[in-house]
Amino acid sequence: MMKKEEIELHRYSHTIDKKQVETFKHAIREIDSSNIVPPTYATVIDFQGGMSFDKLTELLEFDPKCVLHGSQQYEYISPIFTGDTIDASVFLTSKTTKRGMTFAKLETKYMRNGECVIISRSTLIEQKGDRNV
Amino acid sequence: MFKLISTVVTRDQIKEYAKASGDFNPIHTDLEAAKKAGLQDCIAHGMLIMALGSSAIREWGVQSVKTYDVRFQSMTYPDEPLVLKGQWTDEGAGKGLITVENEEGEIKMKGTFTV
Repeated sequence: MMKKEEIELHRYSHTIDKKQVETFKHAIREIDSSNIVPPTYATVIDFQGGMSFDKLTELLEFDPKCVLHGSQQYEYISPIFTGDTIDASVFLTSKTTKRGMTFAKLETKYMRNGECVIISRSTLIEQKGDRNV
Repeated sequence: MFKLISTVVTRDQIKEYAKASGDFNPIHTDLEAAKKAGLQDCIAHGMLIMALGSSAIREWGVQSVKTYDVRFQSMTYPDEPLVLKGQWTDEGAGKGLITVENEEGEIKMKGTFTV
């Protein structure tokens, strides 16, 4: 059930490409030739699927020059595979400012054929201060 | 306690990860941008460290992970030797702990997983 304060930021769709998965596995030094998609691959679905870094900072109204990733949680409901088409919806669940830092909490639901397969919850931080831009 | 896994994230690997993931936050690959943001150097993506963690969990023989939850506690700089540590906190309940730290014991990432 969606909470009242949640704001839907963006929706996008991405088909998991075998070659992109292999490139990602190589980048994380994962030695595995199966069609299993690595557990953190949802980040590729975001960035390659339509939530680019620029788009993300624009939607959050964050200065792209000082964005940090504070925390990340994944809840795996069903495994995903190459060839799957995933529809993602990103919600802003809270945005607070404390001591020059703004914390945005996001929740992304990844759906395959209408069923939720992964939920991501993350905190992004816009860090501005004396030593920052 | 699972076996310790040592690794080093190189500058080239950070660039490779940026391309592979599509995360082009400039603080990871552009030294000037990193310095303007108050950092001493480019930093590794938190998600790269998290991915190394998930590979370690797999290497430890843990399968069917249901949740994986981490906090990025400090910056990881290129060529910094890292140690990945893991253990069950309640094996019967399928709950485990993972940390990634440098040789001085500075924690880069701390998290939990459940199966």
